[in-house]
Amino acid sequence: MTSLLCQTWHVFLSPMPAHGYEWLLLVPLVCFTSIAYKAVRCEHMDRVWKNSAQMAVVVALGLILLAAIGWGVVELLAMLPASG
Amino acid sequence: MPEDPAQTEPVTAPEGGHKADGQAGVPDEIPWNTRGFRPVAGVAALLLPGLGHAVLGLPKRGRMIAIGVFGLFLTGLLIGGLDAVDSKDDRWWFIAQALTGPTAFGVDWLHQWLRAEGSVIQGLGRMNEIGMLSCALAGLMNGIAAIDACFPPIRRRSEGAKL
Repeated sequence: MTSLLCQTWHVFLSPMPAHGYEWLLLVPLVCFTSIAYKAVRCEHMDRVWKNSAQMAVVVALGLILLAAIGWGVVELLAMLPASG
Repeated sequence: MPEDPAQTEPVTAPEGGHKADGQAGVPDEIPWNTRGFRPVAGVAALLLPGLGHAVLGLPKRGRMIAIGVFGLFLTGLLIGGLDAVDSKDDRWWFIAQALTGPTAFGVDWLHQWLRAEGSVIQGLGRMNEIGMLSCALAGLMNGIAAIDACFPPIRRRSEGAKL
């Protein structure tokens, strides 16, 4: 498995072979965005890690909720009779 | 529901901040929402993520900004490869990525050079999009940090500011 990954993925030269698992890439994006934002906005730096973690969880849950709403809307639209 | 005093009225002043009113630093007559203007810090933040706040005397804040911005940028490069930063084919994305500073221009130069040699594999589909998005987010977050460094708050909440 590792050797297969090394053969197909040249780090920084080719895209990461994570097809089908794209949703997992949400985690580092949300975490680093929260750290950068809270580093600017946080009042006290001794709370920055805690506040970043809280923001990351809220943003991730919000995105999951939006995805669920989008899925629901698509399912509802699919139940409507076709026009014409 | 009353707010937790520890959250709203910190006892100690923030790192690099001014002392509370009546002690020293900022006179009482300055309104709580007054912001300073430090163009050198703003330019420094655009040159290197986190440097602007370090110039302001907030090294820990600067380090955290650098962790966040470079983390996003490196994540984007890992996901999409060097092709995630492309000033020729993805110009609009690169405008956002360029806010990261010379790092983005350096990566773009490396990408164009390696592409001419045929070493870089063209990224397509979602992985390329997520990589570009991550690098663009890094640039936009550094833009926020640069604005904050250029117009730093004169007083923080611990000094009476109601943010």
